[in-house]
Amino acid sequence: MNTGTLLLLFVPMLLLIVLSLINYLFHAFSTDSPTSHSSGGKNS
Amino acid sequence: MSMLNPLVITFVLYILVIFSIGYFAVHRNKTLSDYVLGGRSLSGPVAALGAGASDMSSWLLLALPGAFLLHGINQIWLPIGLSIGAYLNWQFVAKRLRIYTEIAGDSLTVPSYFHNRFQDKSQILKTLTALVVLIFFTFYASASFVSIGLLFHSMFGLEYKNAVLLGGGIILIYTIVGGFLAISWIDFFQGSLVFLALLAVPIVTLYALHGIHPTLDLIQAQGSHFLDAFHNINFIGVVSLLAWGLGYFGQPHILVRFMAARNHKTIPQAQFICMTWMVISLFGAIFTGFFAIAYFAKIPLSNPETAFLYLSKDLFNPWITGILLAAVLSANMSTTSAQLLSSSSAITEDLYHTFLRRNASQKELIFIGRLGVLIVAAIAFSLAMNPDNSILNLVAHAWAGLGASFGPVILISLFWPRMTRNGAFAGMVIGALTVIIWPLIPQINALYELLPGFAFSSLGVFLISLLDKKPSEKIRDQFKHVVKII
Repeated sequence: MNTGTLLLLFVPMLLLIVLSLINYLFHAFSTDSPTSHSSGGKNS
Repeated sequence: MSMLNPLVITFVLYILVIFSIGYFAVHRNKTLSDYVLGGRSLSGPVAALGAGASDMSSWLLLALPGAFLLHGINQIWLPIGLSIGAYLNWQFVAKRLRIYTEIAGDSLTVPSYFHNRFQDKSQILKTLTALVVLIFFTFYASASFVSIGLLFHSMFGLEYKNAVLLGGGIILIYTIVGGFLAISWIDFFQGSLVFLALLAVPIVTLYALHGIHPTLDLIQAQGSHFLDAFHNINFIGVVSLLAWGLGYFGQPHILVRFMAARNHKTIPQAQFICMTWMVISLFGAIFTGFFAIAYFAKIPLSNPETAFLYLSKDLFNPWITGILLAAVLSANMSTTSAQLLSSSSAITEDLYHTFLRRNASQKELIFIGRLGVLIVAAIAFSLAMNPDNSILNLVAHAWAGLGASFGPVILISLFWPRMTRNGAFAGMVIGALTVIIWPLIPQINALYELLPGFAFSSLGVFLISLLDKKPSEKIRDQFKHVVKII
């Protein structure tokens, strides 16, 4: 197995960071709709 | 060993930091909710590193690099499976569970969530779940005490049993006194330490080996199989390693970090931080073991699981070594404290508060919570006194047991309003029995028992729920309420 193929094995894990980042940014920049609810905790 | 030894001094300082962080949490424990769930006040970063650090024990720094040192890159399937499992857990479980546990009777524990989710008047679900948590977490904590004993023995030359008592004693003190907030803040500190250690060790090892190409050449010289992801592993082997990721859905000590988040809107931030922490830490552990193949080519280690420890001693200034070794202790402590507190909350909230003293005061419940930690730890200590146990094997039973018993039930309960109490009960029993029976059957036990356990448990949940009568309108309304918030 060459080095390039070896590195491919790490791609799925790196992809998970990217997906999490996209998800985070999506939520950070999306504005709350007027009907959205908090989960109502004492600190929320 | 002299008390002025840099390793000893670094360790003492480390313990002082831990206790200082714990001290600030002591006075915030006014109710059982504070003691077992930190009053649902965790910020994104604290929830993230708490989930990561309580998940990854010293297995991350000892056994995982050891596996790569021994077998090579064919072990990569395990970290890949774990990362995917953790990601899916954050993506599909975290937010819904945070909301549901608050709406469903402000559930403080996973057993309480099951009880409130299905409005189970018989208490059977809560009792069964609490007992499963207690049994499996005792194994878990025992495995952690074994590795802490080996660590102290290897580092300071302490006699194994004394090492277990000393390391375990430190964990016990701050867990008993500080409760969930203490362990969450300490986890944040410990998680950061683990992250830095797993960055430093492989980078410095690679530098010592004069870069990537000479290192790969040395590994190749040891045997080309070290660089072959499919060497000596068949399809079932790959699937078994990937299947470890299924365990995440059913680990109460990790799920409580979701439940303790400040609100559900902190979850995406926490997910990103946790996944970054986890993936980079796993890479660090992988490369530590992988580069150790080259580093220890001439003088092989008698125990591959000590690769991180020896690299830390060989390649760093003793003061830095002390910090790196504290990271190993950190990984262990954060997991053990979370396990102890989860089992204690099962004793307190799900058994004592439910069956013995319904009207107990908050002060009394906190006292029982602390006593519960002590009792579970005492049993785990006695199990850990035999050092010949393999860390990974011990944890494998607990991971699969919890994953197959609770995972499908948690997951389906958050997404399927038609699920019933009897369906949940069947899923748990089937999952647990499969994990116990599967390894005893020689023809099929090459496949990791978590996968069939998870599959059969899910099937049991669906079949029994559909055969059962529909959930009450109240339960369905509660489900709709949760969906509306999301």
